[in-house]
Amino acid sequence: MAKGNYKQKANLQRIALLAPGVLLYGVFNFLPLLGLLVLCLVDWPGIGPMKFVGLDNFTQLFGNAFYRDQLVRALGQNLIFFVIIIAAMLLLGTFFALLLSFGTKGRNVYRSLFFLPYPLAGAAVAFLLELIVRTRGPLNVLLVQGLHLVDKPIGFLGDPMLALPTLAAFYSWHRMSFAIILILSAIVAVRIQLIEAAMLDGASRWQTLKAVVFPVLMPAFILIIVIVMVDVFNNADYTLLLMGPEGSPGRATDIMGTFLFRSAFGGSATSVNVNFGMSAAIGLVTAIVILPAAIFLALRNLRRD
Amino acid sequence: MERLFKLKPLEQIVVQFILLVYAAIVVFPIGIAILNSLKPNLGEVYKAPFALPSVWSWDNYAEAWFGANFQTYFLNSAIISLSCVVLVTLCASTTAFVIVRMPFKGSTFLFGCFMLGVVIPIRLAMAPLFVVVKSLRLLDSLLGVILVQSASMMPVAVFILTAFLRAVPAELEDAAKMDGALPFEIYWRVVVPLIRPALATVALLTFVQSWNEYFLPLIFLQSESNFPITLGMTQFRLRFDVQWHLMFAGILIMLVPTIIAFLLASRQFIQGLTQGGLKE
Amino acid sequence: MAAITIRNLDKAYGKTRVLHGINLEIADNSFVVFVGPSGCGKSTLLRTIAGLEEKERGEILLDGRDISDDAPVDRDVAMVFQSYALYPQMSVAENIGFALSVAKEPKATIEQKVTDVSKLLRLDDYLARKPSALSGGQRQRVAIGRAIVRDPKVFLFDEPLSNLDAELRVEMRLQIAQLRRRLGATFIYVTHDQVEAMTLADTIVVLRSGVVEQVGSPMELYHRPVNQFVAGFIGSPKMNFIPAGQLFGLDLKGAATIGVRPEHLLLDPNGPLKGIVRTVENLGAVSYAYAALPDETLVTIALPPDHSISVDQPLTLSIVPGRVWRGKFKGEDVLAARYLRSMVIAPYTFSAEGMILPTFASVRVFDLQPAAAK
Repeated sequence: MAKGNYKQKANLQRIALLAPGVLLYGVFNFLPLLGLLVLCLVDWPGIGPMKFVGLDNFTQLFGNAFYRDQLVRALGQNLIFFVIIIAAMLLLGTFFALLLSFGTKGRNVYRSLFFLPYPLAGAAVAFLLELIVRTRGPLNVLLVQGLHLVDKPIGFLGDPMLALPTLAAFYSWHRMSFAIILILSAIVAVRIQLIEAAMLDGASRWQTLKAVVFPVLMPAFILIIVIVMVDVFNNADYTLLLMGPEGSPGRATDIMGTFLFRSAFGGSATSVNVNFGMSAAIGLVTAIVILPAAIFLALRNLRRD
Repeated sequence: MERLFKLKPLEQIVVQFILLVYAAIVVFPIGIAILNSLKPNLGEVYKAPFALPSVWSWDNYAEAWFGANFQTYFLNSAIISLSCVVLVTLCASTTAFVIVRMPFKGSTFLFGCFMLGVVIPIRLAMAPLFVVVKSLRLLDSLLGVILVQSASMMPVAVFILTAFLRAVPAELEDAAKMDGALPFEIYWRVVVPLIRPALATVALLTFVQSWNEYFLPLIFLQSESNFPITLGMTQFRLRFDVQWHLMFAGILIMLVPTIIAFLLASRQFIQGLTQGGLKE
Repeated sequence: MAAITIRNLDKAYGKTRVLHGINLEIADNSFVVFVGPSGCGKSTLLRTIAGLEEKERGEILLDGRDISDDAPVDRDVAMVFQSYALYPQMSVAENIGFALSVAKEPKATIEQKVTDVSKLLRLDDYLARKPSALSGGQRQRVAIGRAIVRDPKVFLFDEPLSNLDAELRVEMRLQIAQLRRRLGATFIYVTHDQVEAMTLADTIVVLRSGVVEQVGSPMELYHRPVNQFVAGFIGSPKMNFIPAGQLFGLDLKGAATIGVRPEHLLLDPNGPLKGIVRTVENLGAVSYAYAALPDETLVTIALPPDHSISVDQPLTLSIVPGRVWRGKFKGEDVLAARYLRSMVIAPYTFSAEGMILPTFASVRVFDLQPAAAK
């Protein structure tokens, strides 16, 4: 090998190693993200010429009642959706994590069992749970005939009041173990160092939990809140799968994800208001809503390096 | 130390009861699905959803598999997921290797760009993404979906791998450099064996996530012959919505690969979850 | 031939400068040890010579050729790493032969060279094993073998023994010394352990904060350290630094400090130092007493094995004449300097047992009192 050759070769190979990943991510992820900033300034139905409209999409979105009402409704319902899920995850998640952290018999079996839904596809979970909660489905059979809790079957997904909470329950069923595992690992981490000391000081179990365990769960709570928030404000798979892009019944389950989808690809066959520029604008607005959470996540990731 | 967390007999019973109730809630839908997927007709599902089938009808699975295009869907899903796994593990590990071990001017900025993808979901940019895919003439092709899905998983993979690589001392690579190995050789003969655990985590997460992805194929695929199983399932539902026993069978078929992946590597799975702590 | 000349070498990580204008001459076939506390830049200097770190300014000449811009592999140097850095998935033979296989040497040549090296290092029985199946000492030998097989002009060692237990470390130290006699190449060795430095080196380079403090043979550094840092760093246990004011009967203004090695403090009822014993450590061949002077300065005293010193006992000490290290004195410290000079010139003799027995007459404190009073 000729001397001095090495460095040249090393540099070329470095570029060759970097290129595929950067190209793949750049073209199909980073570029579209930046593209939001450009596309939100045009009016364009996806084919034909683009029309530059400046900030018109935003004035429409916030000013025009047609868009504004949808935005307010989607944002509000998204918030309700998020609150139900996060409450369930934090309360039940902490509860189950605590129970699993005790010297409970068979806790490893429970942990694996609870984790079972997590890797399942969202589409499968949605269809499966939808079958379960139908008016003639097993859950209603159980409630009416088995436990005699109600007189007649409940239309979980048909009732505008119940549809959104039911979808939130689906989400919680699917993702609960995520919360349990994060909280459990936080509890286990603190146990080894601190609990012994607290116990030597003569604290009771409840005092120990309150003084030693709960404070350290904060980081885990924040992490769960942030991740779930980012997820539910962009991912509307359940609604799309079960309720369609219009968020039936009567847009009672419409959230940002469906609103965004509708604006780009149309809701139903009759829909005419398709505008990629508007979709980009909605995407940007949603990004700004979740930005505090996103920035927190980014900082946390960077700090860990 | 364990004394504080040791339960008295009565407490043990209460705790066991609560955990059993939740376990029942978790298992209930899946158990119902298994039970009813084996029933010979719809009537039995309606009449007694909790009873054992009168006849064990394994044919439901065959009917679901052959009756709908499940072979095609399954094959498409397999092609998409496995391609994503190869692409993501390869591209993310080379990228992480260069960023961590051969930093250059702007490598921190590059890492920042990848982190932007971690925190801002690509779904929000579905309109620009559609424009990109369309202008590359990749609409309604498996290749397009593979590239889009891989790209959407790159940020998390790069993040997990850079974090792992930073924690591994660089002496092995220094030794290889002293021995005259070029970056390709260092990557392939030293780094890849070294980061194998993290690669396994990334591969698993990528496989499960790309198998389960519904939204991106929904946007980019039109012809049914290209549908992965998530989209196929919606087609299937259109036809068999009232045939509950077939629906259950179809859903279960769809779950098999991810459940197998989970059983094979539940530890990596949970590790990846707490490590990345990100997205799905 | 493998003489190294380093000229004005600078190195920085971002804004932190880690090497400041290093100048060094390393003779052909010598064993040079870089020593210093952690963070002194010794490893960085070694890695810069290896080519693993880019220099910022300066030159590194190997036999007159500037190698500082060459790739590591083109520099005719080989390195042994602290963690051994063995490739875990490769066998011992593959590890040793890796550099040759990268250089695309023919298989037969590789095999021949690997066999030769493994015989030299007594590794021939382990060639098929993976590193994980080897003991610490064996791994160390594989790491050395991997360096030898490239037949470099210069061997670089980066704290190679720090992962071994104490016993093995002594053994490997002897092996490295032997190896060096057999190979006849230039060795550069980095350690924070001054015992390793003293036992292995022809030349020791003491570094602190990226600056060369002193270069010299081990005994030069022991006897004639140029500053307090080197004086304190070389020698075990450490040299005592005593404020001159603690020398009983002397009223010295200023804060001049003298340095005395533990082995050069003697029990002497008429000595100029008074202290109280705080701890005694009996190691067998030698014992150490730690005594507190009136100002609570703790001094270490080497004692013969048959001493009768016990804790809380008051002691009076004198210093072996000629064995006082003096810092650089300025202005007010002249008096101390004068006192110390008188001690340095004092004669001393060796007793039959090999212990140093001073002739006290000339170093009595009162000898100096007129000077002090002046």
